[in-house]
Formats: sequence, structure tokens, C-alpha cells
Amino acid sequence: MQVVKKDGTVEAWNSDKVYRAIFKAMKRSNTPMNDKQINSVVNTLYTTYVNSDNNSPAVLDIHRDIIALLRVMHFSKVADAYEGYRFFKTDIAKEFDRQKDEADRILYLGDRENANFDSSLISTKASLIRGNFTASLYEKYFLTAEERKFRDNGELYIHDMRDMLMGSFNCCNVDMATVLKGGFELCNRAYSEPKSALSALQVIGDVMLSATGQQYGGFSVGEIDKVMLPYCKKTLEKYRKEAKQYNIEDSETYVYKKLSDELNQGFQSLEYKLNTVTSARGDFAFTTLSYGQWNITLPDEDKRILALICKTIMDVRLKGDAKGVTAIFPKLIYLYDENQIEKDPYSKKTFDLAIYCSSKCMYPDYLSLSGNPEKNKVAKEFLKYGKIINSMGCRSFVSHWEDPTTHEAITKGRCNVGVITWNPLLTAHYCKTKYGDSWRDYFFKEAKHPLEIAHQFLRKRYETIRNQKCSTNPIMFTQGGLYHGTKSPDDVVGNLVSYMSASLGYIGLNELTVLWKNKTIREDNSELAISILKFLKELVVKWKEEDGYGYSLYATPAESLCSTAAKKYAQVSGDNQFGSYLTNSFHMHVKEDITPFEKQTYELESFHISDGGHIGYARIDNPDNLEAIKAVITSAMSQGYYYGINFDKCHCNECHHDWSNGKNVCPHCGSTNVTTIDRICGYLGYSYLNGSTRINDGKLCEIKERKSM
Amino acid sequence: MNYVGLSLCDMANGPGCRVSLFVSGCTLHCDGCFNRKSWNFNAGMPFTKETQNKILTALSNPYISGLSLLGGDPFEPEHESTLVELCKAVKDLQNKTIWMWTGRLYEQVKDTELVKYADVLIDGPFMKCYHSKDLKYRGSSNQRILYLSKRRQNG
Repeated sequence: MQVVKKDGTVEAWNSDKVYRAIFKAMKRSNTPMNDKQINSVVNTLYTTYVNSDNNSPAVLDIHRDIIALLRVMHFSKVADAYEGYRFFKTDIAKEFDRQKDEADRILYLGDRENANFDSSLISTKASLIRGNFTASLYEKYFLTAEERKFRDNGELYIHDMRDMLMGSFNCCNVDMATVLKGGFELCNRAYSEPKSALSALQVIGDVMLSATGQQYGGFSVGEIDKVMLPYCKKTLEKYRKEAKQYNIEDSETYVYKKLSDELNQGFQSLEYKLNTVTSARGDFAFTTLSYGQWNITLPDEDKRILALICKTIMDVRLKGDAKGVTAIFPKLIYLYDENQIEKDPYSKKTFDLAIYCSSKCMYPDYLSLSGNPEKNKVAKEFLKYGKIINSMGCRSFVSHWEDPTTHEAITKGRCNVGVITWNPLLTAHYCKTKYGDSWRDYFFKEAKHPLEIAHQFLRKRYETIRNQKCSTNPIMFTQGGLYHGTKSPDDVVGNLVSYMSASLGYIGLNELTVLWKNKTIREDNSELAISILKFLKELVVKWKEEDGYGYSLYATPAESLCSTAAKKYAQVSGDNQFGSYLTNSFHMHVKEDITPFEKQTYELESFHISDGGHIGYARIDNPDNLEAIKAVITSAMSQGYYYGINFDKCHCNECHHDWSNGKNVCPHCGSTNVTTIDRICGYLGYSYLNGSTRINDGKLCEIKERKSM
Repeated sequence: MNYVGLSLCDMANGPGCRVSLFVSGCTLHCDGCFNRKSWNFNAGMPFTKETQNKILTALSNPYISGLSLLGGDPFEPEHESTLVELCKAVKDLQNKTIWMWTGRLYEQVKDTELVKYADVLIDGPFMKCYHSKDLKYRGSSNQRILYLSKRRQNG
């Protein structure tokens, strides 16, 4: 007997081949079938064909008949697996083709999904192609049917799909002091504890570049000034000895000059590294340094050193590269405590320099450590426990957590395991389709479906990570980068997950308000938005009670999502009123013509409810007006904000003229070879680099339309 | 008196966030003036008690540094009584500075009642030949920034 293959060629019947196909399906379905049973299917099939008119069946007919036979013989699970595999084969062929197209696009056209990726580099291209592949693997093998359903209909957005397969965590606030203390190991090389400020900064750079490759989100080194203090003292000690040895006059001026030189060189090389060397993942890691808080009762020398560290970080940022172009990494955060600035002259000077630095470079952003403690989680932690909850990456904040044995509040050495974002606008649309005019009555009930799937997804993240080997991220799990992260490489992460966080994000509350109430979020005074946020907050608290893992409410920084979510809504609803982007999280629409102070008032409540991740920002018309920037920042700090300012910072690559808030044409020489830095979301990015952009069209359109952001 | 513009949170005219009032009417008519439509004394809207209250309410916010008077020309004699009344009320608020812009020279206005309320006066006509974009608070370099009170350090 013969078989007609798909390409029309003819081949002799081969019972072994049929046997193997059924055997594979049996394996995949986890249903036991013995030899005899399989052979009975093969033989029945063979006999049927031989005895029928059709004695040269086509391959597709054979598949169809095998499935039918398996069902008749009550092996329906095996039949499903067999059927699934047939589609799977065509799917995989299609998917592989798609991968090839995507790879071509990345190789020859570039990619603008993420402003932190320079897609012209080979390493980035490799990373993007790999990312497409791992995202697809994850999607095909690990997403559940329901996760896929809500992802495909747009109600849920799974962030960083390309990284889900790896079982790494998202972003962290590293405990750098613990890593450095007493030395550590990095890729089986033993480092001794640094003996000077300069070597400390070099080692910190090594750690950052290495560790950022083992996770996918932002890497924050909180309170870098305090991390550096002991190493600065070692430098002073070294030069004091030298001054004595060589009888150097005015030795104190000399040793501080030496320290200042070391810090300058160290921070400059760190900044260069973090902006030029891609992490092992292929992108420029999102790195953050925070500084500026200290106890005002410290000895004068300590305060002098801490202030010098802060000053150097900002001097380096202000100086820019050899052509004067400002760096965007690491993100800088000034830790603001009103009381400290009022009473300590070093702190006042540092804050004034921070304002000046922001007026030129947009960074630092400001974190209020003591403002509005009734609502501000960070202030509560700081005032009650003396601990600082530093932002992880651009805006993620962990919750209060105490070590169950010591009852100490721990904020350093913690991390986030992942983010999933809910788009309530799409839930509203599907409600509308299902219930008509009374859709609003069903909205919260319907929302529970995608949100429960979001919960399941985040819980799965925890389960994946808790089963990872510690060797997957040695700095964090074995060298003390995370709290109690001093396990052996063969251990699993295990109960370290108890202090991690998972984030439920959201987008487009402004657009939802328009759909619901026919007015903007500002006109509604955020009323609907707040009721939705309270609903979400209750939900994440309930999740935590249910399974003990940490969940938090997160104001998603939607970069590419702002545009894909808008497209998806327009596509399924046919409603184009919202244009090419949705408004991020709880914010007023960027086009609202309101002052920074009004914006602070309108957004305050929503900001504080979303305490798992949030940032406030405002557009500054005239960044040269330092007093105005100071007024905006001071006002934000008193309300407990984490806050940054925004303006278009432009630099001409031909004549090196700098300007702000202008067009992408140099007002001095008319060149269009311009580099512009803008706040993308909670972080800065190059909206134009040497005249071309790395930002997606929706976001670019948003940036163009900004009035109050 | 009429006014052509009122900004309750202006970052462009004077230091800090300020309330800026652009009064209508100017007889100087400098060549290249940035605000020609304000030459007409009937331009804009009438300045009323409510306008004044709006200004004072805005100024009472702690983040507002003070009042900026621009124009037109605040030193046109027929504006004086209205603006003096406004400035008096502003001086009753603590720690608010008043900045004024005029096309006249300080020497010409130094004896007016209004100038007594100015913490800072930017004086002189706009002159095209001295125009530069890089000047702070001024349109042309012949204009002067005159710090008339001790509070100027605070902006």
C-alpha cells in the first residue's frame, strides 16, 4: 500500500511511522497506552485502508482517521494531543516564518519598542532577536488558555514577555554595602573589599554591569553616598599618611582635593560605563543612584564627605560627555527631608545644587522622605523606622516588611518579580458589547475575571522564582545583594520570595472616565479613578491574604503600551476618539492646560493609593527659573510625592548649542542634527538622537502634545 | 483700566512662580514691541474688583513668589490709581515681591506713587538694535534691572 504525501509524492506505507506519531502524542498527553493498544490502532488503520477503495490514502486523511480511531477507542486525551500537534506543526512553521521576518526587521530596519535599546548595535540586535524567540516560546508553552485569552483581547498586558522564560526577577534595590563589605565573589573571581573611593566605584561598576544581566528590570543602588562613606575615609587616611610622610603643607586641603579627584574620576567612569557598555542582556541596564539623606547629628567630617559625594555625582552629570551631551543613566534621585535641609548647611547646599542640576539635566528626581506621612508610605517608613524605601528602577516601591525573627524593618536588598497591566478601557468596551447601556453596573463584576487571571499569573512568577537555583544570580542570592542573599549556589531561592513584590498595573483611567462619564479625569476631579484604584487596592490586599505573597498596586509607566493599548481599543471598538495613545496610569491628559501645582492637587490621592509604583511630574516652561523649579519641587515634597520635572532638553551636534523646549532645529545654526532628551515616563530617554528617534509613534505623538507634562 | 493678560502661575517673567498682569495701553510704541496689541487702552477686559481678588487669592499660595506688572506700560498715568491700590493690597501679604516693567526710564518715573511699591524695576524702551534672546528678564540690552528694595535677594 502507498501513501500520498503533502507535496504529492508517493511513499510506501510504514507502520513504524504511524506507531511513533501515536507514541509521541501519548507521551505529550500523559495518558498511558501500552504497545498492544497502539499497535491495535495501527493495525486497524492498515486493515481499513487495504480493504477499502482508497488504498493510497493521503497523509492528511491518515491523521484525521488516527484521531477518529483514538476517540472511538476512548483515548480522547491522546486524540487531543495528536490533533493539537497537527496544528502545532503548522503553527510552528508559521511562527518560525514570523521570527524570520522579525529578525529581518531588527537587522535591517531597527526597533523602537524601548527607548533604552539602541537597536543599531549587534549586541542589541542579538538581544532583540533572542527576545522575540523566548517571548514566543513562553507564549506557546507556558501561558494558560485564560492568560492568552485576556492577553489577546487586550484587557491584560504581560510586561517583559521576552524575559518570563528565564525565571529571573524584575527590578531591585541592591544592598551594595553588604556586597562590598569583607569582599565578595563575582564569576568565581574573589574581590577583596575596596581600599579607596576610586576602587570602590570601579568595583560597584563591575557589580552593576554583571548583576543587571541576571535580571530584566531596573537596578537601583540606594543611598550611594552612605555606601561610599567608609571608602572615602580610607582614601583620606591614605593621603593623610602621605601628607605626613612628605611634609605637605595644608594637608587637609590636599587630602580633600585628592578625595574629590578620586570621586570625580570614579563617578565619571561609572557614568560612562553605564551609558556605553550594554548589559549581558543587550540593552543599557536601567540603573539608579539615590543620595542626599543623612543624620544631621553625624560628625562634621562625615557630613562634609557625604556632601562631597553628592556634589560630585551632580557635577559629573552637569558636565556631560566630552561634547557636553547629558547622560541619561544612571537615574539620579535626591532623597528629600525638609527638616534636614532646614538645619544642616551641607544639606541645604546639596539641595540647591540638586535644583540647579535638575534645571539643566532634568535629573535628579526627588523622593519625599518626610512629607505627608498620613498618606505617604515612604515617609511612614522613614519617620517610624528610619529606613528609606528607595525606588527600584524608575518607580517601583516595596511595601513595609519586617524580618520575622528580628522584627527589623527591611527596605534594602529587596526586589520585584514582575508586572501585569490591566486596561480597564477594554474591559469597559467588552462590558458595553455584552450589556448595552447598563454596562456600568456590570463593570466591576466583569473586571474580576481578567484581574483574577492577573493574580494567577503573578503568583506563578513567585512559584517560578522560588524554585530557581541561587547560582542563576550569584551577586544577589549568594553574595548578599538581596536580604539574606548569602545562600549557597546550589540552594533554591526558596523563602527569600517572602519579601519580594509583584505589581498589578493599570493604564488609561482618563480615557475610561471619558467613556464612563463623558468628561475628562480632571473634570471629574479623579472621582471615578479613585473608586477604581480603591477597588484594585482592596483586591491586591486580598490576594496577599490568600496566598501570603506580596502584591502591590502600580501606576504602570506605559512606553510602548500607551500606543499598543490605544490601537487595540480602536481596533476592537471602532472608536477612534482617543487617538494614538492612552494616558498613563492616573495622570491628567498631557494636553490639559494646568499649572504644575494644580496637577499636583488633582493627582495626589491617586498617587498615594498606587503606592507599589508611582511618580508625579510636571512640565517646566522656563527651566532657567530656578526659583520656580524649587517652588514646584518643594510643593511636591510637602505633599509626599516622588517627583520629577520635564522639559525638552536639546543639544545641537553641529555647533554644540544647548536650548530647551524648542523645535528639533538648532536656533543657532539651523542644523537638524539634534539630540533631544525628554521624560519618557518616570525616566528620561533620547526622543531624538543625532536627528532620528528611538521612540514609538504613539509616545512621540504624546511628547509633541504635552502641555502640563 | 483694562488688561490684556493675566497668568496666575507664570514662570517666564521674574524669578519663581508669579502672578503676571499685562495692563492695556502704552503710548511709547517701541519699534519691534513684543506685545503690540496691548498698545490700545481699550484692548482686553476691564480690571475689576473681582480681578483684583483673583490676583490676591493666587498670591496667597505659598508657592507664588510675587506679582509681575507688565503691559502695555504700567506707568501710563491713567493706570496709577488702580495699580497703586492693587500693590498696597499685595504689600499687606507677607513676603511677596513686586516686579514692574516699563518702557520709560527710572529717572522719569522715580517720583510716581507706583514706583514706591516696586521691589525690582526693569526700565527703558525696547530697542531692536540691542535685542538679544540671551538676556534675562529683558528684551534689549539697553534696558536695566534695578533692584529698588532690600528684599530683592529673595526674588
